[in-house]
Amino acid sequence: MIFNSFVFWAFFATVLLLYWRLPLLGQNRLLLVASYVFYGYWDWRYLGLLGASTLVDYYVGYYLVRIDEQRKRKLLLTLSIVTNLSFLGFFKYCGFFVDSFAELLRALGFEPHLPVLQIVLPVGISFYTFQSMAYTIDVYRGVTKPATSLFNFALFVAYFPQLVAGPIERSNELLPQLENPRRLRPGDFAEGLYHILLGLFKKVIVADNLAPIVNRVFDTPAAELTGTEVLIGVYAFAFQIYCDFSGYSSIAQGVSKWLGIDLSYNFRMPYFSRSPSEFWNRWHISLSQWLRDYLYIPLGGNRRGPGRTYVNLMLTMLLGGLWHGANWTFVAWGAWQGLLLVAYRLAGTETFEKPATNVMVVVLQAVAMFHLVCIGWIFFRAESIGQAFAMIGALGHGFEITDFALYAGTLLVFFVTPLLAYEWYVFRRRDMTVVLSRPAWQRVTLYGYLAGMVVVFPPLTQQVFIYFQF
Amino acid sequence: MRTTLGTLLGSTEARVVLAVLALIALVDVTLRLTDSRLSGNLAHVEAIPVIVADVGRPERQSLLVLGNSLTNNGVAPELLSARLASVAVAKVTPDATGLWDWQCLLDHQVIGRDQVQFDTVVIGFAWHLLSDQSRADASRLGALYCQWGDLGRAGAIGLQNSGDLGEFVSAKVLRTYALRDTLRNRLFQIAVPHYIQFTQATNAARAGVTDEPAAQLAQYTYRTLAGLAERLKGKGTRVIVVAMPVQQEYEIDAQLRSLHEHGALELIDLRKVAGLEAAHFLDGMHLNSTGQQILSRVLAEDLATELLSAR
Repeated sequence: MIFNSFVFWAFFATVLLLYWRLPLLGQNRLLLVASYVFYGYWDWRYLGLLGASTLVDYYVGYYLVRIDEQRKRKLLLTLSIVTNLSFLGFFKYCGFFVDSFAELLRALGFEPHLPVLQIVLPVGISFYTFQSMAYTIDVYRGVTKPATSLFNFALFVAYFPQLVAGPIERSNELLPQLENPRRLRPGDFAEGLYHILLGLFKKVIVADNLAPIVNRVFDTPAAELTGTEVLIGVYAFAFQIYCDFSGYSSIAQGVSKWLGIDLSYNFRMPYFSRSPSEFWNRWHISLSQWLRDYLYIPLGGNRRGPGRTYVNLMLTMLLGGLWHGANWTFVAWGAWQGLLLVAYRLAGTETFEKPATNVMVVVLQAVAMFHLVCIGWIFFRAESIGQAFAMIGALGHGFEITDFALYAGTLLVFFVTPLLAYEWYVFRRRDMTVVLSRPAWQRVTLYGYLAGMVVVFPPLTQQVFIYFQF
Repeated sequence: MRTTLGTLLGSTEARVVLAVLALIALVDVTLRLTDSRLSGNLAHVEAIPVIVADVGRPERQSLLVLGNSLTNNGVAPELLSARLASVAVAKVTPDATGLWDWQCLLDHQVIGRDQVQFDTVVIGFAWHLLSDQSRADASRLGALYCQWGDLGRAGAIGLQNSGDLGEFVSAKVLRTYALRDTLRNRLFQIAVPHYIQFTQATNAARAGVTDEPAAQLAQYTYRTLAGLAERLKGKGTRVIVVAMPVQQEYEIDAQLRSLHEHGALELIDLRKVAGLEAAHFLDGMHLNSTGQQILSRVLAEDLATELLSAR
């Protein structure tokens, strides 16, 4: 069940209608059933995996606060981490590692006969295992209280608005909201509506309409593309992936708001970032914070000198890249992001982290950063490292305006410019919901535009969310 | 509940939502009043009830040619009229339609109307367009050819899943949604250079990717067409299906041949027509005017034979 489908909205309307008629216990049971239906609608066979992850982590959390002996507590935490990473490792990385191992053996002159694994990746597994695993780590560290009941914890893991593509919520933020009575506050409906409309616009209009352009460019051999075509394809992918993922997060936030539960912001206008560290504070925020708290800092963070800091940054970003998918292209993307973080640090990132007074300087720095991010997107989207380098090579020549470049460029401008202009306004006002404080006629204009676009300009075929595959 | 609803629709936001809805309704009403001017096809669709009523009068012999652009480009009704002198001929060929559209159209415009009577309905098709496996366009069905009551037999009108149902209902309620492709194409043809060229290329690539595996796997069935032919027969109308010529060769499915052999309908096979060459095609499928003349003459002869044998 995906957010941009009729069945989801029929499902959500039914849930909402019942939800606010029930007491807290009933609300939570309804949400839990709804979440399992939501997940099972995709493939019911993987509900067991979700259930297993839930059971293990709930009981690990339960006993972590009841056992004092440090060795046993460590064992419990290890059990949780190993269980979650095993699920992730088997379903997501098993085939990749077997294939890579076979390639290595072939390179060494052997003829390996390894099994061919066709494992279906359970949707959202990277998101819920990370969320569930963070809970046990936080309970172990004493920074969060264990869930009061298995039902509540199961809901925390499976909560449908953010189950399959995040945000990866922290237990100390989400669990208390699930365990305490909720009520709709004035303004919740307005905020939810705003997030949903904006999210649908980003996903259905911008991301899905750019998909055919991106597919065409990335499906064409680089030698047959001009520099302009590659550039447009990469720009299109930059906005496709941003709008696809941030659109999902926005709808999740809006849907959850109508259920009286706040989800965190996963994106804050990342393409206006002036440095890689700012980018990661604005892009997929819940993942970057997860990587920071559960990987980068435990590795030593920046506390062990510059050399070790750079190594930690590289390691974190490499694993962050691998989190996105079992392919060397994602590893290369992570490496590129790590290199950018290291390079900016070497260059003195504090220059970029100070608030700039000159708008033009901000724009220039943001444009430079955007293009560096775009180079990373080539690796992210390419089918192979070879294709990525070939496309980067194609960027160096042939800047004539072809028919396709004109066609794709015009569509890119049509779909992206209004969004960029609006986000620039929000960025400058430093208020993600600034529109809610504007006069009613301005909201009518914005909502009218968003709704009109969603009605008239959906793409010819519906696209699934890119981040479901991660 | 009232308190919750009151909270949900805080006064300012209620005004905003109502204003947006009013705006959408205004655009929609305007579109409903003017949509026939958006394209020739929409004007044709709007004229169908009148065309059908004018020609399909019970007091005379009449024939309805039904199809999509393939039939529209392929059949000249005046040539059929000239050959079948005593038979009035109507041509109804809305673009991009198929079995499911034609079923609703025939159910509501022919079978369901007492004052309409055709002796023969001729349906032009190619490939598996008349099979149960052909894909329904729920949006088009909702907006143009089916009625609310058809939702009660959603499966029988080609709606396969909840997404189709949603499309159908949305298109029935919101004309702007139903005609989104037309609106989009009209705007982009003006504003986006080479729009038609690359959209067609994208569609062709997509069709190649999505249709091939299904085509290999599907066992084509014709239950819907058989039911439709049965209902038409109940009204005294015989059904003739015509396999139209296209550049790419295709097979006539076994079950369709079986329907013909069991007398449920007549089948005229015009996949190969003497005199028709590649030069008579505008593209891979559609005939030019010379091709239309050639095909229509052959079809007229075949129809004359069929009608005579029926008498």
